Amino acid sequence: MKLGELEHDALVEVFNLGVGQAASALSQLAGEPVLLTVPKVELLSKQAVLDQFGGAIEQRVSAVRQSFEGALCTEALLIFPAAQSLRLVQIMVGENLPLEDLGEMEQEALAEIGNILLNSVLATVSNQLELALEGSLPEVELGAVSEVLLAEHDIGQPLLSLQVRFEIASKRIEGYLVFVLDVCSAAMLKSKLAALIERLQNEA
Amino acid sequence: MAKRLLIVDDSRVSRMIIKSKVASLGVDWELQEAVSGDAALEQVQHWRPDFVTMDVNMPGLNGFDAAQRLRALLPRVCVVLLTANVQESSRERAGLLGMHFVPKPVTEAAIEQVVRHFQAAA
Repeated sequence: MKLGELEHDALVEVFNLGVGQAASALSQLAGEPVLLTVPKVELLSKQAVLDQFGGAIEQRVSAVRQSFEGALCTEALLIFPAAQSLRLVQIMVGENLPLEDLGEMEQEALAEIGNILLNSVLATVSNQLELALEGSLPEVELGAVSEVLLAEHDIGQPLLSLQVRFEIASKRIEGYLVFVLDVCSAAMLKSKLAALIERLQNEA
Repeated sequence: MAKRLLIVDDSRVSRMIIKSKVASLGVDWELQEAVSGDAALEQVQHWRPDFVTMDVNMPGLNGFDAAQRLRALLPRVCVVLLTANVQESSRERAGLLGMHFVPKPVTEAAIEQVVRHFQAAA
């Protein structure tokens, strides 16, 4: 999939808006601002995506995975260090339950946090590009970054990867939102981006 | 007689948070939970709620279809869709069905909005 400069910028902007919505949802739960990087959009192989994680590639992470299908096919992942997962869960359920009591519901709480954040991003993308997406139910995985990212894909397959790092400073939580767009949706994506660009130009 | 609220959500954590936030608002409603749309339809055969919070993305019957079937069974029930599926298409579908739509996360503000809607409808 090759995107023109305007299409690339429009895609980054659409995901940027979506990530902003997700940050707003997370910030409502955390009660403090969530710091974000600008989404990095690149056409990469999975191997190249893995390489970007550098030395962290074998770090154990918790991940929430959801697939979205429709005019776009994308695999969305919320990834963060496994050691931080209980802190993330506590953000959701509140401070009243002690950490040691949270273990039992950790997986379910992570799934729900992933569900909220990933849907926030994809809903904005869907609204901006005027397309409807069907999301799968969230699944929680635990493993090395390489295992989580490589699931069900050929390592050499080219993918459009979008990555955003987020941080909740006082809670010592950081993680990534990763969206892997399948090239099967390239033509539709390009046509939806073209329509968005035209709308924006007409409004300008 | 106390009003009855049925919380339909496949996430145990969401159900727990909804219950706790509803209770913190001081309403004296009877609360029950259902883990899916199918379970909710089964449950209302023997426990008739006045109000329902309904998730959308659940295993089996989705929240829209479950809510429609619930209303066919209980025409006076008031349903609020409380969901992370915040796409415009979902909001529009809720509007077409005449159902109030509240986006997750389940914060105090979100639950206040849900409870106020139920109280106004009662």
